[in-house]
Amino acid sequence: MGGVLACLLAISALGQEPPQIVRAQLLMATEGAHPGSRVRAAVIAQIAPGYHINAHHLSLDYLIPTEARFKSSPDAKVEKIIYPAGRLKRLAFSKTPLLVYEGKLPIGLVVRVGTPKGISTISLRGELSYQACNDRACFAPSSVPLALNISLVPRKVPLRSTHAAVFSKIQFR
Amino acid sequence: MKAKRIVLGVVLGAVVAGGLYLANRFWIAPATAARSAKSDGAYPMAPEFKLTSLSGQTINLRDLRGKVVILDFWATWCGPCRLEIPEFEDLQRKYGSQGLQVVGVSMDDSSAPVRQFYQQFKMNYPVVMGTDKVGELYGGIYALPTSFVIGRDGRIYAKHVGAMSEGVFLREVRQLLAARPNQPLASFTPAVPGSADISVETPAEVNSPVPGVDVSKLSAAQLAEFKKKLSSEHCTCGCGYTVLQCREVDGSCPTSLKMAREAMAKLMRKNSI
Repeated sequence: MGGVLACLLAISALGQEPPQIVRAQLLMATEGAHPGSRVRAAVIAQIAPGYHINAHHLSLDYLIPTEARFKSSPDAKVEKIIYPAGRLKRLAFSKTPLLVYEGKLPIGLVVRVGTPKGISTISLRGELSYQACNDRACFAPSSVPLALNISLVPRKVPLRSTHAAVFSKIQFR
Repeated sequence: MKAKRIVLGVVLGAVVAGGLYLANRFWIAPATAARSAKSDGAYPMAPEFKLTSLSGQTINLRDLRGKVVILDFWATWCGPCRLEIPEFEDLQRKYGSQGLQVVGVSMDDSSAPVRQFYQQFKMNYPVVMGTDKVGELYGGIYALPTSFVIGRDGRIYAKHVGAMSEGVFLREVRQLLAARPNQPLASFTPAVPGSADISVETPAEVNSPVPGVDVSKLSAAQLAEFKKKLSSEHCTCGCGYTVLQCREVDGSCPTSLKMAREAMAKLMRKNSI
């Protein structure tokens, strides 16, 4: 079944309609954040079967890297972005294997939360830019918007962890 | 038990649907497309364009009439595109004297990496910097490489999306070189099924205030009504824009194009245009 779907997606890539290749969302490692703290978050991208996007650290200099970019504000500033290394994949069009992302892609973020006055939610906005290909064709560089609302929790209230399975796979240190 | 049956039914349904899709794409659709193209002479004329090559030479497609042209939309960041270039160079070297002209249309954002590539790989055919408008004239370039094989009569005989296996272009170019200049080809067999499935756009569609839709027959009031309608509907491609915004921002989106053309057809029916 997965094979049939992958096959259909790969075929549609070479037809008239470009498919939605990458979908992405932002997740927090905790339910909310304390003002003035650093919190962990992650971009979780899902790459459609049959496609890959270039890794952030490129294996060939002519490729376009995957990159997460965020708007900086006093309320929320992304201080660190942790990209996975990618998987070496041998493709028909390249003599050497390329570092690519396929399937589920978790990108770790360390976010510095500000101390805004009189608001209970801050927002983080950005985009994930990528350039996708399959084994035979490539698609124009593209991006998906990223948005996350972070609830501010008083410092005396302990934060509960969420999405532990996702965050355990990201090397934050 | 019931749940098992439902799952089985869904899986079977999906497999049958997939099979029908594949059969239609690779077996039924290509045969139909090739046949209709041959029977009514429907190989479309290659849309004309005039662009300057990296070496400063003006490439006017009209001037190449009488030659067989491979028009290759590519980019330096596209691995499969780079793979095909040595074959194009080889074809240009061997068949250039018989009337073949390969033209590269780079879809890179800037010419610097293209110039570097051109010099590094000593390309032996002209490369022009493509524009979105030229891409739209050729039906929208959704994936790279996309190559068009154009006959001596200026018609597009094949469109190839994605890197082709070696020999595909050679087989098609040989057939087209056999035709007399400015004469229609008696018969053409595409090397790849489905490659005769070609759509192009007119300048009126490309230069329209609603890109991709010919609004030249609408009055000013009707055009305003049309644009208002497109501004009130959201494009279902997931971009978050209205249909009109999506046409303006991303001319290559097939979803907003389809929605806009359907709205146009409805408007024309309503006003008996």
